[in-house]
Amino acid sequence: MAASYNDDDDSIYLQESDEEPFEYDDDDDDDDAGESEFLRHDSVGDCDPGSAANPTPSPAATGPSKSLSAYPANNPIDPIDFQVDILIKANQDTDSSLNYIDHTGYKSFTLNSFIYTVLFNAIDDIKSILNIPFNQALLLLVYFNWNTDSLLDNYYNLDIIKNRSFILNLRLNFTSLHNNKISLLKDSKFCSICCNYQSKFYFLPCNHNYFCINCLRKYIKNKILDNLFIINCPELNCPYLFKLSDLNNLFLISKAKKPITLLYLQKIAKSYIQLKKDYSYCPAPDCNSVIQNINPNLTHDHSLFSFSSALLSSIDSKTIQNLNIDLPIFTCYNNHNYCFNCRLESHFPCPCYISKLWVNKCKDDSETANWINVNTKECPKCISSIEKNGGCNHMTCYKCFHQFCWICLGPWASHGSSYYQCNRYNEDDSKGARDKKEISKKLLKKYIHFFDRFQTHEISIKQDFKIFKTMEKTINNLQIKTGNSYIDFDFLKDSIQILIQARNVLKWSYCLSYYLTPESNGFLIYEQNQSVFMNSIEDLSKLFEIKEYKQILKRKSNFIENTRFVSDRQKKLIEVVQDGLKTNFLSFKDINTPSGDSSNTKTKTKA
Amino acid sequence: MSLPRRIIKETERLVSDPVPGISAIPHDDNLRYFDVLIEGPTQSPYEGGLFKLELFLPDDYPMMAPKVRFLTKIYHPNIDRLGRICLDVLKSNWSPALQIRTLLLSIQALLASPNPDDPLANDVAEEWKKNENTAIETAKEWTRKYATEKS
Repeated sequence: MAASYNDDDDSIYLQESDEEPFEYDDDDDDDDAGESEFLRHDSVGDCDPGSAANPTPSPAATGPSKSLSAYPANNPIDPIDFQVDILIKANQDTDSSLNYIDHTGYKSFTLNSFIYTVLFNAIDDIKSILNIPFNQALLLLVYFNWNTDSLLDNYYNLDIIKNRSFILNLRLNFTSLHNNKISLLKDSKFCSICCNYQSKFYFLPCNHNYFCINCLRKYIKNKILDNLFIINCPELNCPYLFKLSDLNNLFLISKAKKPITLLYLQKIAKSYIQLKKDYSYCPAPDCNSVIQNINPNLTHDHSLFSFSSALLSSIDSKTIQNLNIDLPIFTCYNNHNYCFNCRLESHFPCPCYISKLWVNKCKDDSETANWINVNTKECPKCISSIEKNGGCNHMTCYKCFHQFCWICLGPWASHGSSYYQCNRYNEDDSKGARDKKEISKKLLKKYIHFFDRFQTHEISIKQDFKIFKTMEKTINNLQIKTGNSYIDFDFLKDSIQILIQARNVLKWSYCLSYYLTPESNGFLIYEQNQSVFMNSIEDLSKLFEIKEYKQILKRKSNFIENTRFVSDRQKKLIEVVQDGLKTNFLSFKDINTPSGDSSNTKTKTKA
Repeated sequence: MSLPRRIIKETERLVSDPVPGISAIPHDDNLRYFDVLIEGPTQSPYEGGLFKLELFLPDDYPMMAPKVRFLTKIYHPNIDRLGRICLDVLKSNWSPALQIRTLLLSIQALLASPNPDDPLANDVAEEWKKNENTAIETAKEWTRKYATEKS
């Protein structure tokens, strides 16, 4: 078998596709019939004899050329052309999707530009190293979870049986170029999936040509929506794999709003982002931005920042002191500010774990938290929330591939023969639970106090945001009324932005207040600063109540001064917290593990 | 909603050309819901037993796998107390080219060759690995108790 894997594959591939990039020539069809004879090896021996006896490309060839012309690109698309194809489609989504913004330590992409740059570069690398076609490199990378090292280690070294069968099959899939086509048959043919007589079929080189194109489309779409990117021919045990070009051909004339190839690549991109630690999505709803952490210094130790209930109980005060609050806040393509580590909104001056505690506490009563609490557990390794949707208790995390037991959350490896350890009752745990209850009663009053303030400022932010949104209009109006230029009112824009930012910091400072030890000098200093900061914010906010346009101009200096003061106080407050935590002036107490803590990503895991 | 042709075809064939040892009959009021009977395979601890299952074809069948569950109590490492089955073709390895008949055959094959290394019922699997003979005896006993005509 090995003899048939020659190095000419790629050249054949490129050569053929160069010949006729986007033409459709009926005369070629007879050659295709010959070519589609490939893949006649043992594992397809059990395919349906009926279809082998009836390859039927010839009726298609002689079919009315008019209807054939309804399907333009019948030929496999050159990988490079294909990229361009995607690119054009991607560009339709957003005008400038190929640009990214450099931000301190973070790079922001739109999902489509991410596909074009990062994903395609990774594929191109493999493509040129191994001298294989684009599609093959893509499937290989998907199979190896985008781990280039393990891919290269395993590509020629075929010791691991599981990998070997995949790689050999993949190579075989690319040993010859096949012209797969959608064909209209003169007489309709029986589709073995929908059991109807259909006239549109897609000819697969494995000769399993008894699936109509609608069924194939549904099948492929289902797979993609299930995040399965290595898609075999539906026939059981058939080794044929669908290529990007197949998807492109199959869905070319479908009326789907989103091209399926793009959906396919976007889904793949999302899986890539989940697998790589230095990439992340923007967590804002409907924001398609991808963030790359390009500054290794900013990569925080995840085990310290993302906490779980188990981890938190082990954090002693010393560990907390050592954490500073240089938060990895990024600005995404659509100007959302989020924290790279905990995926919360910008939460200065709170350290990640404190904010997360707080957020979970606030969510405690909400339905979602209850649902998460009841229905999910966290992967013991990467703390992703996992919903078990069936199957046995041997879990494999989709995100970090950690294997564990659903019952006791211990590693699976030790479960080889000792299931019963999961069932042992732990006396200590129940004692702890009772103590916790008492503490939480005391904390409730305190909590309500701070939550009230937290929420009030959140509402204020929303109102300020309305001012910000209408700012352009307001400035235009002012221009007309006063006859001054746009630049004269620029300060308003700055002020409102600073105000919103500052309110956000103030809001989060209440969260910090809740968790800090109150009886210390450090805390008093912190509280003083917070109070001054709050007053400065209120002063600035008051200025925005002025509606009289002459007054606004008159008090321009007040605006500028107050804005500067607010920024200064904000900086000061953050410094106080930062220094306080470093020097043990500020410390946390009574950190109580919340019952339901949800973590950043939700991964579904199957057994 | 009218029944897809695929389901009609399959049902017809299940009735006209039944698989030996397996019967699947749709309910009159819900043609997507089948009463299934599987005979325990010979040479297995389930030999002589007749196992009742329920099978439901979801809306997106055949793109999605049918839902199958044992109704008869069975002692098997890959079938839990609720009758749920841990089988690849019911989950990730489902393909629309598979049919009800092929699926039921796979379940019958699972009875013939239990796989305690990927268990669903942990206690059963443990017993199966530790002490295969006892486990097989228990399986036989359960078959006698729950899966024969008398009970």
